[in-house]
Amino acid sequence: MTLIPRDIDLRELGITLHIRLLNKTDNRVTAELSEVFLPLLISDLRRKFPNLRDPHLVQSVATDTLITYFEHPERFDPAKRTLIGYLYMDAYGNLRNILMQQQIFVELHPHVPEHEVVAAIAGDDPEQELIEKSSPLVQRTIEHLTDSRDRELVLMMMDGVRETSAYAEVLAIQDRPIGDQVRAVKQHKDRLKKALRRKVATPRKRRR
Amino acid sequence: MTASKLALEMFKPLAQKLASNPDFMAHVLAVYQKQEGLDEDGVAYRLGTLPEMMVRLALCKRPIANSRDFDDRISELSDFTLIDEAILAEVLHRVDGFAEQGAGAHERSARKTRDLRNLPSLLAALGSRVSPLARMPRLAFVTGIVFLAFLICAVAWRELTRLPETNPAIDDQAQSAAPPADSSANKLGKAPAAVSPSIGTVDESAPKEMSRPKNQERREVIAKATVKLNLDDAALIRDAGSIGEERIVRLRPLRTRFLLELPEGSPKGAYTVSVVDAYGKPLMSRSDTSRDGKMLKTVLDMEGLRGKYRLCVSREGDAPDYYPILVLDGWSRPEGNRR
Repeated sequence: MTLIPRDIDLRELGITLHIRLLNKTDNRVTAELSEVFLPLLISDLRRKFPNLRDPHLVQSVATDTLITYFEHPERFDPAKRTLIGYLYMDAYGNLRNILMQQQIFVELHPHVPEHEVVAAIAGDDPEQELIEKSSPLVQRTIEHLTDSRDRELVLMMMDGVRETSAYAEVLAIQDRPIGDQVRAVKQHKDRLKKALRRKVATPRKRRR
Repeated sequence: MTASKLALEMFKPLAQKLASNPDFMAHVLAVYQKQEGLDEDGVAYRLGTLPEMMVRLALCKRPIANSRDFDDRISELSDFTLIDEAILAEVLHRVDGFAEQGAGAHERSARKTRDLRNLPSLLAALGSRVSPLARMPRLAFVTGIVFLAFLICAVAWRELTRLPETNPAIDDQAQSAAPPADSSANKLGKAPAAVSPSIGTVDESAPKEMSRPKNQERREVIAKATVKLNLDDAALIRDAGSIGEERIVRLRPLRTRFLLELPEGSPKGAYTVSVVDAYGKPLMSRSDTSRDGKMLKTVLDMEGLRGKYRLCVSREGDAPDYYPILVLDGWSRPEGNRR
């Protein structure tokens, strides 16, 4: 999922990704889960435990929580709570245990809040909005692309859109024969990857 | 600190922890990095991607190499991370090959250890077999030894006298590698004309090393056909399906001499030219040196190949480039390399 779910129903998203993880045939779902839930988990835990001596502890616990979930997704029951709620509870418990062992428990908020979905970003510039709403891992890549259509295509690729018709519509080639559409879409995809590759190659001594 | 750095700081620890799990691409990348002796930036450069996208790839699960939908999975990951499909497939292939080698070495090592552990019992068994010989009459024992020595000498002599007869298979290959006696090219003392398929030029000049094979070492560089490719114009691709059929280099299944015009600005030095399959698995590979950074000459034996492959041109420290080739049936349209 390329867009951060600031204005997306987290519950629904959590269930969708959870089902994909259970299917075990999806190679990218773990990355999507990480990109959506790790930042939320870390920020929630930091809010909860703001004065920890070890600044990396929250990161470490959140990371371990996600890995445990990847290894045992069946432990999460969508009927009981949301995925972010489940992950938060798990991480909170683990962090609390660690702090108890170290006897430096500093809890500011005794209750466990359900995650709050931040309101959608307000702004008039749709392209800037697109960048800001993207996953932090994707932002720099999108910034490399100057053409708005290319940005849209890249986001579709990263969102796992496979249908040629969707790309054909963006490229405005839906009137062409299907064979031509497939070829043109593939060419555009390859062009975008190659463009990125060239940009990456620039700082080093390039061969061509 | 930029958002990008913050993102990397957030996701890198997760990727590092996942590196111990073989189900994840993080593990594949870690093995690849170690295997190739690269740092993180080096791996990102090889993959032709940004560090952020490399971390994104690391968080993905790895496709199973021999699964039926391997190509689809690679394609999905390629779209997701904007990394070249062929490069992804090659990385997986290399890492899997490395793991197999490692497993093989481990098995051999274990076998050696087992053998060493069994040595005392083997010696004891040997001793029990040899001890009855001590009870034999001395003369009979000596006679037996002499007979055995005679037998060994006779066999060795027979083998030695056979050596001058060369291996018929090699002779056949030599004959087939030489240009046909009645060909016009041969009459001129030249190799056959070389024609590039659609992106090169007709090359009527013959490579010198093709003219007269003199010994077996020379036979290695004898080509039955030549193809001249301008890599600046050639279709740089991820797979053969991504470009029009007319841009695929069509070749015959012959030992082929490639005259590769390197893209402008290429450095001189050693290059590796390989033919790889759809999964990026190298089927044959050869290293040659470009003296001027403009032309790279190499010979690859395309015999036995049929169908679509990729010609991979790589240089140490650089991301490889792939060009589609189609090896036609021997009697199909002769559009590419010609005799």
